[in-house]
Amino acid sequence: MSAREPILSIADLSIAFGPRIVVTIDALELGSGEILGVAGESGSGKSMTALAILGLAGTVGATVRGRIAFEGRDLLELSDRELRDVRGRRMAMIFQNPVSSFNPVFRVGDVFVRALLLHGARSKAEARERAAAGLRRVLLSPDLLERYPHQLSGGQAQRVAIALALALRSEVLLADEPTSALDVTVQAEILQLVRSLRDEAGMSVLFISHDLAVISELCDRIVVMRSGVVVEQGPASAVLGAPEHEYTKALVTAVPKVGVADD
Amino acid sequence: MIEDAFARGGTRPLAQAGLAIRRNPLIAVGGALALLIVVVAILAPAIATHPGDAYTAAHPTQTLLAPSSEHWFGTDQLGRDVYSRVVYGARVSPLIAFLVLVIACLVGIPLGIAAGYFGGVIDDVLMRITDVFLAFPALLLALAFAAVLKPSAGNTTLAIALTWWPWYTRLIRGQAASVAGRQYVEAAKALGVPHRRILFKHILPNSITPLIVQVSLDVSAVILTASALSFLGLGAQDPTPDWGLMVSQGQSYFTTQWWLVTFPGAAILLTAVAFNLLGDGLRDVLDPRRVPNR
Amino acid sequence: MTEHAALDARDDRPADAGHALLEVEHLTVTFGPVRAVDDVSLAVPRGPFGLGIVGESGSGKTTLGRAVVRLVPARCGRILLEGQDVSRLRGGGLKAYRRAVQIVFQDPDSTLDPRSRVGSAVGEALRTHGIVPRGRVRERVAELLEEVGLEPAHARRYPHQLSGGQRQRVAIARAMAVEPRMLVLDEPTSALDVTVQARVLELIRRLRSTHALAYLLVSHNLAVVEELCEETAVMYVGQIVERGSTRALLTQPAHPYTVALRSAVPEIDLGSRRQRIVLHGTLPNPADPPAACRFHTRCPVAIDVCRTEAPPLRPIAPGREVACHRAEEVLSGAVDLATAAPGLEARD
Repeated sequence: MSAREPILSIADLSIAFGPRIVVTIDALELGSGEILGVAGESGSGKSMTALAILGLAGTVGATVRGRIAFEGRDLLELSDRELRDVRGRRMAMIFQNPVSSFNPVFRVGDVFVRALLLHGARSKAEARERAAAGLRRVLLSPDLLERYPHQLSGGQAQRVAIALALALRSEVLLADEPTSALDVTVQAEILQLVRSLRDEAGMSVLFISHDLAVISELCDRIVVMRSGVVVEQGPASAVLGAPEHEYTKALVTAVPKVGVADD
Repeated sequence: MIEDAFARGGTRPLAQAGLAIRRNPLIAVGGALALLIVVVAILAPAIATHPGDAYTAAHPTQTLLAPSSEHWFGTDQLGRDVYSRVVYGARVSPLIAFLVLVIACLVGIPLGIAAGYFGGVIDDVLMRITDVFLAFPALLLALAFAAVLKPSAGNTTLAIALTWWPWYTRLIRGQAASVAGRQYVEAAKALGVPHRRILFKHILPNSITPLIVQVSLDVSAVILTASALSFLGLGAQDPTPDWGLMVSQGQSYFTTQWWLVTFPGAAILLTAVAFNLLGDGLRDVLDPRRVPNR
Repeated sequence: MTEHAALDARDDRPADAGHALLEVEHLTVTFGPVRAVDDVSLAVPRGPFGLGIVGESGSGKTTLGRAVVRLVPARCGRILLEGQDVSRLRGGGLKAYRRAVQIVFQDPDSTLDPRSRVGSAVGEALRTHGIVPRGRVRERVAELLEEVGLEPAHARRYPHQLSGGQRQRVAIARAMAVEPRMLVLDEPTSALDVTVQARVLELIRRLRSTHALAYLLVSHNLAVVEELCEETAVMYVGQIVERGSTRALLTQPAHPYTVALRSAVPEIDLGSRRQRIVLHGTLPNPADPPAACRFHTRCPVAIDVCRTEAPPLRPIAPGREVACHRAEEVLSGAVDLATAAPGLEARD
C-alpha cells in the first residue's frame, strides 16, 4: 500500500432524502494511482455516493453530511466556483449510457473543445489539436469529432468520454457502470483503456459496478456496498478469495462462470 | 440506479387522492369549487333570488341598478337580476363546455389512438383528415353553421366541438405511438391479444394523462370561445343566461356599470380555476407511480 | 444425475431425429436497407431442450427471436412448427401458433403494463386463448404465480410494487399461461441483479424439466447459455458464424469471434490475469455489409481471402458448423489469437 496520502477520502458520510437516510459510510479512501472498485446491486447506494462526491447530490434532492476530502480539501465546504474547477477537470466522470451523457445538439468535438477552453487551453486551435490527439490516444479517428453523439456507437462514445478525462489531465476518474451497457467485447476494450489510464497517466480510478467479475478484472481494492452501507472492503484478492461477509459470499458465488464443470 | 432513490407512489386511488391533496392542497380547493358549480347549477331555481329573470323578462324601471341588498349583483340593461342570471348561467356555459369536450374526446381519442397504434397508412389517412379539420377556425365554421341553421347554443356547441377534436387526436396520437412501442404492448401482441383490446386496455389508459390535463385547461378556453361566438351573434342568443354572452353584452357598460361584466367574468374565472386544479389532481391520482414534483 | 450432467448426455445427439419442433429456414429480416437477420437456418428439437443464440449488439439475435414469434415480418425464408409453415399464417392460425410459441422479454421494467395489476396481465393471457373457463381464471392465475415462485396475493399488486426479479417471474408466468410448447427467452436475466439472476435461471431450469419445455435462449452472456442450453449458435452481424454443442463450442471454439467472445467474458480469476484477446476495429455497416467475411475488420487472424470471399457455414465436425476460412486452424489451436497482431486502428 502506498504510504502517500489518499487522493480521495470520505469520512462520516450520510446522504439522505428528507428524513430517509439512503447512504451511510464511515470511511472510504481512494489511494493515489489506485483503482478502487465499488461493488453492489441496485439500491446499494453506490451511484448516490458518486453523485455526492461530485457535489451533484443536491440536483436530485438529496442532502449530504460528512466530509469528502479531495487532496486534503473538503469538497462539501467548497464554493460553487471552486467546485466547478474540481468537478470536470480534476475529477472526471463517465456514465453508464455514454451516448446520452453528451448533449445531443452539439457535435462531440464542440463539447470537447469547449471543455478544454474552459480549463486551460489558450485558443480554439490549441484545443482542437489537443482534442484530436486525445482521440488518437484512445484509438479513435479524429474524424469522429465531427459527429453528433447519436452517430457514435456506445463503445466509441465511452472512449470519447475517457479521452476527455485524459485531455483534461484529470487526477481522478469516477466511472459509474461505464461498461454495463456495452457488448462484452467492447467492454474488454474499455477496461483495457481504463487500466492504461492508471498505468500511463497515473489516474486514480473509482470504478462502480454491479458486475463483480468486471471489478475483479480491473481493481486493486474492492468496497462492497449493500443498502447504503459498506459491508466489506479490502484488497481484491482478499475480498474475492476469502470473503468475510455473507453478502459478499453470496455475490461471489452468484457470478455465473463459464466452463465450470458439473458439480 | 439513481431512479431508485425516488419514493414510490401509493396503491389505491383513494390513498393516492389523499396523497395528492396533501401534496398540493389547492387540488381540494379546485374540487370544492367544481362541486360548488355543479351544485349551483342543479339548485339554481332554489338559489336564485329572481328566478324569473333568468330568461325572458324585462324590467324597464330597474335597469342598471348597482348591487344592493335587493339585487346582490345589481341589474343589467334590461333590469334583470344579474345574480340570478349568473346562477342560472351555471347551467349554460359549463354545460356547453362539457358537451363540447365530451364530443371532442369521443371523436378525437379513438382516432388518435388508432393512428398512433397502427401507424403506416392508417396513421397517414387519419392525420390528413385531422389536418383538414384543424384548418378550420371555430369562428368560420360557426359562421357557416349560422348561415345554414339558426344561431343557438346547441349549434355553437356543435361548431366548436367540430374544431376542437383534432387537437386531441394530435395530442393523443403522439402518446399512443410512444406507448405502442413499449414492451408490454409487444408482449400483448405476442400473446395474440386482439387489437381492440390492446387499444382500449393498454394504449388508451397509458396515453390519456396529458389529454386529461389539456381537457381541464380547455374548459375556460371553450367558454371563452363560446362567448366570442355569442358576441358575434352566432352563439347563445339573448335571453339565454350564458356567461360569455353576458360579458359581451356588458362590455359597453363596463366603465360605469362594472357589475354587468365583473360577476359573470368572475364566474368564468372560477370555473376555469376549478377545473385547472382538478386536472392537476386527476393526473396525480391516475398515475400509479408519478415522481413527485419538488 | 444433476441437471448439468443431463445436458452433457445430449452432446452426441444426432442433428435431426424426425421433425424438429421448430425449424427456421433461410430466414432474412430486413429493416429498410439493414439486413438484421441474414439467411439464418436452425432447428429446435422437441423439449426438453435449449438452443442458445449468442451475439452482441447488431448480431441480429434479438430480431431473430422476435421473428420466430412473428412480431416482425420476415423478408424471406420460412418458419416451420413441426413441419408446418407458420410464416404466413394470419387470424386464427396465427393465434393458434401464438399459443404454441411464446416469448419472454428482456426488460422487467417495461414488460408489464404499469396500469394493470399483475393478476390481470396473466389473466389476459388465459382469457385470450380461453385456456380455462371464466370462473376459473382467478384460480389458475394463482396457480401460475405460485409455480414461478410468487404468492397468489401478488396478483393484486401493480408492477411497480414488485422487484425486478418478481416482475420477470410474472412475465414468465404470463408466457407459460398459454401452455406453450416452446419459449423464446430474450435476454431474460440481463437486466437483473446478479443474485436475482441465479434464481430466475433456476426457475427456468425447473420449468424446463416439469414441462419438457423447449426454448430458444437469446443472450450475450456465455455463462447463462452454458447453464441452460445443450446447443448454441453464435451470431455476428446477422449471420450464424458457428454452431454446435455448447460444451464443445466453449471449450474448443472454431471461429475467431467465438474465441474472442469467450476470452472477453470477465471472470473472478484470482490467479494470474488471463491473457485477453481484445478486438480492435469496428463493425461493418449493417446496411452495406462487405461481400467478404463480415468479421474481417476486427479479426486478429484475417488473411487475404477473408477480405475478398465470404466463408460459407460448413460442417467441420459431427454436429458442428463454422463460417470461417481458417476454422480448422482455430479449432486445432494452430493459430494463437492472443499473440496475433492487433486489428486495424479504429476507423470508419
